[in-house]
Amino acid sequence: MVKDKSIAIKKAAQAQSRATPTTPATTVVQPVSTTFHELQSAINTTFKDYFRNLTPRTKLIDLFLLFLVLLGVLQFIYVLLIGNFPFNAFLGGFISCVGQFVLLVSLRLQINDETKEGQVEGEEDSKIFKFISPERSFGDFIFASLILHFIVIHFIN
Amino acid sequence: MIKQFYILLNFLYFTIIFALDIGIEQTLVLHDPEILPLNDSTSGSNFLKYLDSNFELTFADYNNDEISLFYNDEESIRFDNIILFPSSKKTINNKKNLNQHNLLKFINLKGNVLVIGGSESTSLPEPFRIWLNELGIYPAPKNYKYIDHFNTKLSEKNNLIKNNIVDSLKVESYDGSAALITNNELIFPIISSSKTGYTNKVGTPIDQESTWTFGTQGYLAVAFQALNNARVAWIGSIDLLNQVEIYEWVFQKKNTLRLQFAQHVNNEDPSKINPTLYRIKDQAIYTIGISEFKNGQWVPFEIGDGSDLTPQLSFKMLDPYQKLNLEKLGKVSSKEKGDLDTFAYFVNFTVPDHHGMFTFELDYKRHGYSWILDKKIVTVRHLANDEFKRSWDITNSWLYIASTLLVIIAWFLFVVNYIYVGKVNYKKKDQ
Repeated sequence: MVKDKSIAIKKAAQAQSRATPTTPATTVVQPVSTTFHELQSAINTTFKDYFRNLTPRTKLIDLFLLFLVLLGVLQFIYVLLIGNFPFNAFLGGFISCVGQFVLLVSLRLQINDETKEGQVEGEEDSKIFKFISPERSFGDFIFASLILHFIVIHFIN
Repeated sequence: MIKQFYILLNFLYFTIIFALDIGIEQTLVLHDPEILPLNDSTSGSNFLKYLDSNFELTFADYNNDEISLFYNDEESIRFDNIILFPSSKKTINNKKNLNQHNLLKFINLKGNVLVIGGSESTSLPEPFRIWLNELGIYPAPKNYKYIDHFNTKLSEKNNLIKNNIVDSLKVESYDGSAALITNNELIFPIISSSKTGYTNKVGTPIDQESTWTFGTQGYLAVAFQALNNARVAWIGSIDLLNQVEIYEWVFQKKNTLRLQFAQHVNNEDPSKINPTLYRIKDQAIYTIGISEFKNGQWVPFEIGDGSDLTPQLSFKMLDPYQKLNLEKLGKVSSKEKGDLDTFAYFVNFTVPDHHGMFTFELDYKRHGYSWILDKKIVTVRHLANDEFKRSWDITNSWLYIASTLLVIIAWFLFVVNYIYVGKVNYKKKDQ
């Protein structure tokens, strides 16, 4: 009887010793929160940098980009719900969003390249669009957009 | 010279006679005078009266050498109908003219044949047997007899097969033979043997060797209708001549149908009959008119609702894309200002969404009625490129159109603003 009791105590002690290593788990959590903080700070820096570099023109472009993305998503949800019956119309509507988005992004890249020139002196080679002036890129943009709209209108029929 | 002229005149005389005789049907009756003299009253006397009042008859012995089924050109038949009575002899003298090939040719030229099987001591001469075998009817040979110890009399329950020729059995006692038939689609039995009936060699006990038919595999009356609507019937006994419908059917006096017209129109342009071109999803209206020959004249052939005799249209390109029962339209006239002699049926259907060469096919094959086959080939074309709906007609596409317009408007505003915003920037820079 006494022997049994001692065994029971031993077992309880063992069980406790097994349960105790909960403290290392909190130390494992620590790195996750730090990476999260790092990520947060990275995002913050990106945002700050973004807003610092934001000119009214790029702001306008980004607004338009956002609008196009939302419109594209709306159409995609619509096609999933309703079905793709006038498929050419769906393609036309969706492609007009995507195409306009692509053209706008190209315009933004070319413009941004131009603005960066003032900030970083003496790095002529780093520029991709050396020979394209902002006026030229804007003209290209208008020309390409007009072609896009023309094609889309005809494709929708 | 004068003699030659006389012969020519004779020929002319005969041709005139034949030309005048076109209205009356010619019938050849072949018989064996030893068994069936045909001049006194036998069981077929009503039958002979019927023949006499309806046809120009030619009686001939099986051994008569002068009987020929065809005119000299071998392309037209001398007789419309042939009746074969049983004979005691297996062979015949006139093998040149009366053989299986000529009989088959006779059918191909739309001649009708009624074959009457014999009882114990009689049977058909060999050439006719071979010819029946070619059609798929195998009558019992000589010395065979149909026996039924349990049902000694024919009854509608045991013997009559549902068909469109005989409605009720008038014959009770039967003294004759039975035949086996193949599964030829053009053959259909009229009266069958009962379950307990069999055909056995007379005077021998029943065993496998001596029985010709056993149970319901034997048939007492069998009809055959060729694809050109020539009719043949084999009846196992002269007793069955009391069943008037059978020989009326053989002589095309019963259940003879004629397709008076078959036409199709496009619902959008009904004035143009049988157009050759349809467009997918067009509405087509198919109309037919069928007459039936009754008591010497053509009358409307009307079918009860839901009957399996209802004609069907298949609209097919290799396979039927549509298979439709025709609906009743009403009595019409096949000729202008004529009597109402035709019953019209129609069906209205949508041409399938598939382009190609299609056939309006009316394939009417009901046992006991004349076959009717009519095919009209049309082209079904797809939509021309200016026949599709415009996007704005389809409500589904309104969102896409609206979004495209939105993109264009937004783009325009963007361009204006872009220039405007740029100018402000320059001003700021200048200051």
